[in-house]
Amino acid sequence: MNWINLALRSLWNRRSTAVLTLLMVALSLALLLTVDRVRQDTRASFSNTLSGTDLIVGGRTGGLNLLLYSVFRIGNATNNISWQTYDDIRNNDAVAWTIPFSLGDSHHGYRVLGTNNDYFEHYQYGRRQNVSINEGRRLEGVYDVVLGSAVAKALDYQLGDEVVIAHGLGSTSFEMHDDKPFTVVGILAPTGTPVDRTLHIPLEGMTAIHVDWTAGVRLPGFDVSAEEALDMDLTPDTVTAVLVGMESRIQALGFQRRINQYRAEPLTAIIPGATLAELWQMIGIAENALIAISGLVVVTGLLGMVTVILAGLNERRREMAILRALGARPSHILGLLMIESGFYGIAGLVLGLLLHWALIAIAALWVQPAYGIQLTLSLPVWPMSGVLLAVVALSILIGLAPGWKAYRRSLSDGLTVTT
Amino acid sequence: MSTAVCWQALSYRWPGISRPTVELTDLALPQGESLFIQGPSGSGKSTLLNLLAGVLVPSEGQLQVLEQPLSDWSGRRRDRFRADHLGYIFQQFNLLPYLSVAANVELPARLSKRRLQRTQDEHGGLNAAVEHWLRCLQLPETLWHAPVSRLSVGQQQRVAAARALIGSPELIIADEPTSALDEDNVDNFMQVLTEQCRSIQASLIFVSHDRRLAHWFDHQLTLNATAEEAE
Repeated sequence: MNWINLALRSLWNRRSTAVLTLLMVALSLALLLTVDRVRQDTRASFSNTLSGTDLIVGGRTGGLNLLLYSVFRIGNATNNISWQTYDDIRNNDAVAWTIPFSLGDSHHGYRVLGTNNDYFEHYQYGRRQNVSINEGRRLEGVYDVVLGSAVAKALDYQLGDEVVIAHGLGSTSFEMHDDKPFTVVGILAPTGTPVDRTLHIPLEGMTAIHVDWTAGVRLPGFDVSAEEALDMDLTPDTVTAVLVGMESRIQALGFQRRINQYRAEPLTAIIPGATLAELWQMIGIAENALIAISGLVVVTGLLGMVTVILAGLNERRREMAILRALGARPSHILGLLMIESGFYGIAGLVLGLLLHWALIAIAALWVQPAYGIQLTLSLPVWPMSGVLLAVVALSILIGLAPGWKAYRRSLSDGLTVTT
Repeated sequence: MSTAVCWQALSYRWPGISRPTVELTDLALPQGESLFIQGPSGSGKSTLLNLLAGVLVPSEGQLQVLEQPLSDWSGRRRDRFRADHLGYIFQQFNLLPYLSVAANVELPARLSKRRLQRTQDEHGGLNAAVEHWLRCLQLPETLWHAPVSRLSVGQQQRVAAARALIGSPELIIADEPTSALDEDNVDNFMQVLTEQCRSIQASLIFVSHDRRLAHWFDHQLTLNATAEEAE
C-alpha cells in the first residue's frame, strides 16, 4: 500500500465532499476550455468564409455592416446600388471579375441570394476553394434554384423539387411568392460557411418574383404569371452588393478610394480582410473579458479546493496520528495532502475536458445550423495546453498550504490526539 | 541480557513551560518483560509514551529503546525505527475508517520491509499473518473483511492489538487501551494481549490510571502529578 493509494482511499472515505470539490475544479476548467474553443472556432469560421475577394461594394453604410450582411448573412442592407453603377464597376479595366448579390428574401428562415453564374466561377472560401456543385447543375433558367448543402439536408430537398420563396426575412413570412415557384436544379457540396445555408437563384428570377410588387407589397389586380414574366425585361434595377476581384491586388486600395468617392451615388467599398480585422478588434475586448473571467473562475475553483482540504484537517488529526504511530514521517503527511490536492487538479482536468467536450457536442447541435460556426472537439493546443499544465502544477503546489499546516501539527501532536 | 527500554535521569520539558512534564530516575526493562505505568492525568504519561516511541526526544538524560540511542538520531531515522520495531495501541479510534479490518492489520507490514519479511518468515505470507493475528485476538472471521464501522469498541481494540503485533515488533506500547471497554472485555483483552506479547517475546509497556490492571505485569511504575500544565 503506497501513499498515493492511501491518500485516494482516504479521499474516497470523504467522497461526498470530494465529488463536489472535484466538480468545482472540473467545471471551472470546462468553462475556460469552452470559452477558448468557441472563440477560436468563431474566428476560424469567420476567416474561412470568404477568400480571394479584393473588395465588397454596397450602398453607403458602415463597413462592418456591409461585411456582415453581404458575406455572413447577418443583418440587413440599408441601401442598394443601381444596375448602372454595377455595370460601371464590372466594365472597369482594373476589375477582373464581379459577383452581384441581391438579398432580401428567404425560404424557411434560410436566405435567398440572387446572383449569376459568376458566383460559381469566382466565389471562394477557406483556402481559395471554389464552391462546387455536388448534384445537378448551375443556374440556367429564370426559375432555377441551387441549394446550399445545409438547406437541402435540413429541408430534405431533392433535385426537381419545387421551392416557394417567402417575401422578406424570417422563418414565418405571411407574404409568399407562391405564384412563381422555383425548381431545384443543383445542390452544393458542404463548405462550412454561410453558403451552406443559402438558396441561390438567378438575378432575373429575383426580378421576376417582384415584377408585380412595389414598395414591399403585392399590387392588387396586377398579377403577372410566371410565364408572362419571362417575356418581360428581367434586368434588375438594383443589386445589394458586389464582390470584386481586381486584375492586380495592388489596385484594390486605389479602386476602393475611387468607389468611396463615386459621384453618381453614395457607395461603400471595403477590403474584407481589413474589415474583419476591425471586427476582431471590437470582439477582442469582449473575448478578453470572457477569458479573464474564466481564468478567475479557475483560480476561485482552486482556492475553494484548498479551503475544503484545510477545513477537513481538524477531523483528520486522528488519522494523521495513527499514520505517525505506524512510522509515517511528517513529510509523508505533507505528501499525502499534496497528493490529495494534486488529485483534484488532475482528475479535475480530465473531468473538465470530458465536460467541455460534452458541452461543445451539445452546443454544436444548434450553433452549427443557426450560425454556421463549426465547433470542434479537440485536445487543447499551445498555449491552452500550457495553461492547463500550469493549473495542474499549481493544484499540487497549493497542497503545500494544508500540507504545511498538517506537518506542523503532526510534529506538535505526536501520537497524542484528544478528539 | 538485553533491555527493551533503559533510561537514566530522564526529563522532558515542553518549550515555554518552566517545570519538566516528565522527570524520572533510572529504569531498565529487560527484553520480553512487561511494564505497567500508572498515574493520574497530568502526570506526563502521554509525553513519556511519545519519548519512548521516538516522536519526542528527551530534554535531558539518557534514553535507549531496544538498546538504540534514539535521542541521537534524526527524526527520519526515529520514524523508520518506530515503523520497524514498535507496535502502538491508542486509547480509542485506532483504525483508519477507510480501510477494511484486514487492510488495517496489514498496514505496518506495508509500511515496513522488516515487518513484511517477518510475516513471511513466521507465517509464510502477509495474508496468513493477518489471519493468524485476527484469530489469536478472537475476532470473528465474518468481520475480517468488514468495514471498521461495523465493529464494536472492544472488537476495534482487538484489531488494533493485532495490528500492533503483526510482523513481531520487539516493543508494544499501549496507551490506556482498555479505558473504553466494559469490565468483562477488559479482562479478556488483557488476557489475550499479554499472552500474545509473550508469544513473540515482545516487551509490553502499558499505561493506565486503573491500578487493578497491575497484576497482569512484571513491573510497575507510578508517575506523580508533577506537571499539571501538560495534557
